[in-house]
Amino acid sequence: MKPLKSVEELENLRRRAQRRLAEQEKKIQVKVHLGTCGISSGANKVLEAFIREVEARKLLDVVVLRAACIGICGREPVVTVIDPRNGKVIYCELDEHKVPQIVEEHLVKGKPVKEWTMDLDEPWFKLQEIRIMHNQDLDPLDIEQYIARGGYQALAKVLTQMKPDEVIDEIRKSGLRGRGGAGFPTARKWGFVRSAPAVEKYVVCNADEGDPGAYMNRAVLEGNPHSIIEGMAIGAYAIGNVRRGYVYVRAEYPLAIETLSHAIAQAREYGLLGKNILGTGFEFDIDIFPGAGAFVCGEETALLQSIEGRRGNPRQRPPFPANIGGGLFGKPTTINNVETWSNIPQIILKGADWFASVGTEKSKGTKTFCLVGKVKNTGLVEVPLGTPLGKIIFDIGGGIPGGKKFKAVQIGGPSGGVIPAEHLNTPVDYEAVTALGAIMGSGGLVVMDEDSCMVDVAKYFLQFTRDESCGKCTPCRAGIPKMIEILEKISRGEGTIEDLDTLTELAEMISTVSLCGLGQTSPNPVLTTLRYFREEYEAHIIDKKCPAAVCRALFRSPCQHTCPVGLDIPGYISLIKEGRFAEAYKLIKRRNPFPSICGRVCHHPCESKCNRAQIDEPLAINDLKRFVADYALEQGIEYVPLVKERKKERVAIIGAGPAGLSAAWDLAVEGYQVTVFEALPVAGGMLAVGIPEYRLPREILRKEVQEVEKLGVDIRLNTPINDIDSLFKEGYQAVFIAVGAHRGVKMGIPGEDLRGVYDAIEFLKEVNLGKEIQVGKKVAVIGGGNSAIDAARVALRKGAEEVHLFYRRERKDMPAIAEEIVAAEEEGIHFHFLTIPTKILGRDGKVVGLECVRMELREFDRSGRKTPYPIEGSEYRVDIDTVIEAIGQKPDTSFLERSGIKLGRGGVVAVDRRTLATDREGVFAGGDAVTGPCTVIEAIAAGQRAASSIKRFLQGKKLSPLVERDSYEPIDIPSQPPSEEEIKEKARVKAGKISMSERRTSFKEIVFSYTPEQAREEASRCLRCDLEGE
Amino acid sequence: MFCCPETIRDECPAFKYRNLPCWQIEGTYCKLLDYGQRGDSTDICWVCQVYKRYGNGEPIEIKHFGKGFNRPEGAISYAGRIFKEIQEVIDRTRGQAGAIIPVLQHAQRLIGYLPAPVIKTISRDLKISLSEVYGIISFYHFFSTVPKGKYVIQVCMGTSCYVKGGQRLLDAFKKGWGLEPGMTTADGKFSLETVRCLGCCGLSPVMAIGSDVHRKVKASELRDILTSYP
Repeated sequence: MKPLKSVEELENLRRRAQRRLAEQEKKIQVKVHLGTCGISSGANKVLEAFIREVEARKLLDVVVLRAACIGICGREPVVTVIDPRNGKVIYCELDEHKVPQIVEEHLVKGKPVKEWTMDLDEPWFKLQEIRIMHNQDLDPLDIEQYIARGGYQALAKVLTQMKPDEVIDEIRKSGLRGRGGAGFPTARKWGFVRSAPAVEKYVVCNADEGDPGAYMNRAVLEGNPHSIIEGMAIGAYAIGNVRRGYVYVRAEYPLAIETLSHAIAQAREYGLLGKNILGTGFEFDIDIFPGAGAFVCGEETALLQSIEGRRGNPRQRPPFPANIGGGLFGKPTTINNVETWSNIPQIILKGADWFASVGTEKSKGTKTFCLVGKVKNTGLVEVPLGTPLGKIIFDIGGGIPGGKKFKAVQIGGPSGGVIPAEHLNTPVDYEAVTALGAIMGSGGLVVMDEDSCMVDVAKYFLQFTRDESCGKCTPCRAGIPKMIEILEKISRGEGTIEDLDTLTELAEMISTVSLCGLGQTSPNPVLTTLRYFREEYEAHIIDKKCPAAVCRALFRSPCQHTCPVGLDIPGYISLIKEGRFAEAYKLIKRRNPFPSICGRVCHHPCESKCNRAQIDEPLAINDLKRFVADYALEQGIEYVPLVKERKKERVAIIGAGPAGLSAAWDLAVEGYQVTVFEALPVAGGMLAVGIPEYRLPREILRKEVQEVEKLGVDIRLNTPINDIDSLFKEGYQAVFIAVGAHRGVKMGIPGEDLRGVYDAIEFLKEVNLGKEIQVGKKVAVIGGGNSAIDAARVALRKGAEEVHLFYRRERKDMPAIAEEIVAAEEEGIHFHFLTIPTKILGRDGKVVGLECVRMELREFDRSGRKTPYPIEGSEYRVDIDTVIEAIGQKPDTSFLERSGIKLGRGGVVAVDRRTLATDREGVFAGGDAVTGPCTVIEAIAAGQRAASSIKRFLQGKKLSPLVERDSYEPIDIPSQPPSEEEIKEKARVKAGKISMSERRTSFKEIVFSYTPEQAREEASRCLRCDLEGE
Repeated sequence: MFCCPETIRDECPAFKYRNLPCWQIEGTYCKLLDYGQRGDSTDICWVCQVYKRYGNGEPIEIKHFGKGFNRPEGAISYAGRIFKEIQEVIDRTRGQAGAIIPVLQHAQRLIGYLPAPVIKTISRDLKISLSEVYGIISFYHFFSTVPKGKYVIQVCMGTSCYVKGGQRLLDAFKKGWGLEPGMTTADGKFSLETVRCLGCCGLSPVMAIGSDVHRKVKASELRDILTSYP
């Protein structure tokens, strides 16, 4: 190919190339995307398979092409097929074995294989604005394809039609800001270099992209290399006196280096680089300089040092690189990021206004982001600046996989920070992100869920910056290891609250005094995690707990650590495995007095942290616990703790729910005289009147409550307490308020006083107490929590023909336990999402219908869920004869009105979170009465915490934030780690269930207990995480 | 013993006469690398890991002569070839400022690491002081002054891979192979390293072996992956 000597020749070439492309577009095009990720997933094999098949079948109307990566990283290998009949079809997750079928059905017969295609209407595609990534479907090794799409036209334009100052003006008008992270206005930087009085200047492209989690530059280097070359040439012209440019590519990108080298060679061949470009006399050439594995070389002065063949130590500024003495080899230099350069040709060609047509006022244009981490759709996305974070993560990204909760998104790499759920509405632009304490950086977005520990994340980033610190200046070199020391201390459980102040002080000092950007921004992860997740740090320090179960030194196994009661789960599972059921029962019972209950109704946070989930499924810890408890009941095995020497103090507990009863148990074991006052005719709280019998049989509950009474606890039913003072007058020295949250929240819509409208808790209570209650034929339940599901399933069993549940958000937002929702669906309950009732319609004082309105989700609220808004004009009516309201519960603390005890929002009792002490001496509170509706196991844990505080109080000691427990007589726990066989993939053992017809018509318990063989089999799946690290 | 590339091992008498202490053999590859030497200079042995580990402090002197290969006259040994190539690279880039880093990269790619004699040669020819050259080598992660294994395993510890369980891979290597980052297996086959982001974050956790990039790697798959490398 002879070099192009004029703009006319370029134009002719473009027309020829366009014609070629048009001819190609008449055929069926198969584009195989070959980025690094694609190749590592086998894309080359897919390419070969297509070539083979097409050749073998002599399909002359099919052309197989190489293309670059289009950013659908999580589902590589990706292939785009464009044919005149079906238009564009994108296949994902292909392998060579799928190719013959695609060739046969799609290429030959014209019917795409739907099960392997992507839906082009899904938000991933629809919400993106492709500008920078617009050439990714071309073959990067063919310069003529780039030219056909208008490549090098911009260069031709500036060389023949624009003066250098006009070029800079156009860039200034566009509002382009540096895409490397700092966001400095590009035109201004170029202006500085242009006005520096020197006859030799340089343009440099920073392709070091060291931020872990960011690889958008790599995609452009591998996919659209000519845009960088053209951009740099335009920049060289605009600045003037620039004859040479460098691209500093990190060594970890071999394919990018190869592709770019090829592109540069081709550009030279076509006369678009070198002397006398396009016959205009303009001279410019580019060299690639590979990095050698130093993150700090992404910092501009360190990068220049590296090109000059030195250690990458940043330089003191001034002089800035744009000035004399500060740039490459001392000459004025502009260093810009890959994406910045890549934007230039399009700005020149399509105009500054086009570029500025998207974005916010100060941040114009689009930006590519690498959406990675705990998100369903990982990959490269391009959106206008100003797009809300939540939209990128949840709408485009599909949200968090595995049913886990979003915790934070890390933006900007190690120089950036974490952004929590409450800021998901933040538009992603330079100013907004900086205001939150982070930086945009190159645009890496790493999504983290509840399994990431923020202390650990801060430590991780600091370890990175410590390793990459060049060592030149003291605050960075000596300061970062000091911060790590403190964080390690905290992760080991040895931290103090003062450490957090020291950490902050250090962080602020380092960010102010460090020489370069690496040091200045290195404390950002610490500062942002401290700002938004301070309670997590405090949990490590005060409670010696890592809520995400990551900091290994604080726990033996994640399940035990997550259990609010701290039950030794691997302990009893290993005993079950060996058939030592009685000992397993003892091990559980001495820590959790209600194993039979918990084994049935606990929401099992332990299972959500079970490491076995990485192999197949988490252990069925609930079922195992239930098996042991039922076995003990069957066999008459009892565990009666040794009650200590009887003490004279008396403790009053208000409420015989799980919190009250577990506090009673612990205090009774200590020897105190405990009286539990219960207003209802039955003990158990929500266990008795909230949870239906098919989940928790009465008999089981009664048995476990009896064991509390056997310790000498006096439970007085039908005895409400109206006045705390009377208890003290009667001679009690301490009071524990555990009244739960039984008062239903009203919806506040017209018609609530009609006959046939119930509050869910009232409804469940009446049924559980055996009272007669009228349930109509068509029942509506409003709400999405456990009481809503319980009420719906009970209504069914009480004879309703149809039960409809109305929830204002989506299924995935429902707070109810997942298995309960599934069970309700199985039993035929109809779910209606994104809708709420606005009016209950009645006739003759009875319910006849419900007027509802549909909801749409808009911005995020502080919990990270989208806020529903009614859609105007979408009202509709349903025929209903019974309405059960289950939108929330509050505690009934009216009896505390004159006691002087402070109440919080919604009537909950205000207490110190850790000691559970109210502001009145001797009065403690815990459970749902303090937290609002929560779970059984957390109430039990609260009861134990209260008992520990009451004990200290009665002994005259200062209260402690930690729960004190006596040591137990040791049980010899097996210490055999699992065998190779036991680690192999194996599904959970499923317990048997009663038939569906029995389920819908009776209150019989649905799930059977394991048999001993089933229990031992399931127990053998335990990985014994508690044995590691010993 | 040392994990030199196979082509070197084919020629080096230290490999052929494994029962003898290599520092006592004339003409071993390491000694030949020293620019212009005949193979009897033991300078390198004093700082060599092998001697330090097995030498027990005994005085180093050549005891076994003539064990070098008989090479036909005029033929260049593998070591010589390497040297020639490095020399060419140096000549090509000598005028350029900043040539040192590409030259070091080239040498590292050829040999697998940077032995002291090579460093000395580069320093001498590019007229950069040895301390400055060592300063550059020790600054950049990519340069190594110790040989690596036949295959270098790079476990990515970038943010995405870390969040998606990259640490578990390192734990598995420690548990199953006794390997920690920076170490090489006893048979010289695999070296383990951590790398900060290979840029394939969409497919975390990522592990590279040589130029192969493995994605969504599970700890249970490691054994199969490693055995697939001959």
